[in-house]
Amino acid sequence: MHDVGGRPSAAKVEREQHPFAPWEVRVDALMMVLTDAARPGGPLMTTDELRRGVEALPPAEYEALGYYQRWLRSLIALMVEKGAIDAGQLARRVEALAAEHEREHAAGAHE
Amino acid sequence: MSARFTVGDAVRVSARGCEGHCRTPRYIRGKRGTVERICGAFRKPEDLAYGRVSSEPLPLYRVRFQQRDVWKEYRGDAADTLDVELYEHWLEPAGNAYE
Repeated sequence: MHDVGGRPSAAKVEREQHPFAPWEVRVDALMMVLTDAARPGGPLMTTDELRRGVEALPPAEYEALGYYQRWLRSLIALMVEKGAIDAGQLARRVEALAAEHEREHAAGAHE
Repeated sequence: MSARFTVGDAVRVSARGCEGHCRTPRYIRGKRGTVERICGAFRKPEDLAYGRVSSEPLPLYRVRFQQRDVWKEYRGDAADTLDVELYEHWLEPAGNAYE
């Protein structure tokens, strides 16, 4: 899926760099921390593991996701694979944050 | 680092498939080119992709291909070339390219 060099495509090549959203910068920073050779106990992962995770995404998801969304999906899968984080715990945390965001949004809308 | 190939050597990229992760794009597999430079030694991406960091570093080469050899229907200048960086375990000797 990812290895598209030389494959005919009608898709337009986007040549403009968009400004990075804060969450994209954080995903990049997270990657730096996890692969840091100077990290006590050694790096938690390699750049090639990130690439393997990105390349393993199902084709439809790979197509639909943006660059740092693919990174994030790969990082999460790797950290779960390595036992560094717990998938259930992560899901509950995401749910809690989404609910908090929902409440803030609702409160803001009534101001 | 002992490198199997030197600058100017004709090489052919292995046409084998790749499970997991590798850095050899599909379009260049099976193609013949010439070693342009030795870039240094790096660990095998196939191992690093599974967190195996203990393998010995391998020579990485910059290999120059004629665009006409890479793309069957290439319409650009006959002198156009394409450089691809490839690990030693993906390369085989291909004799003299100009024989």
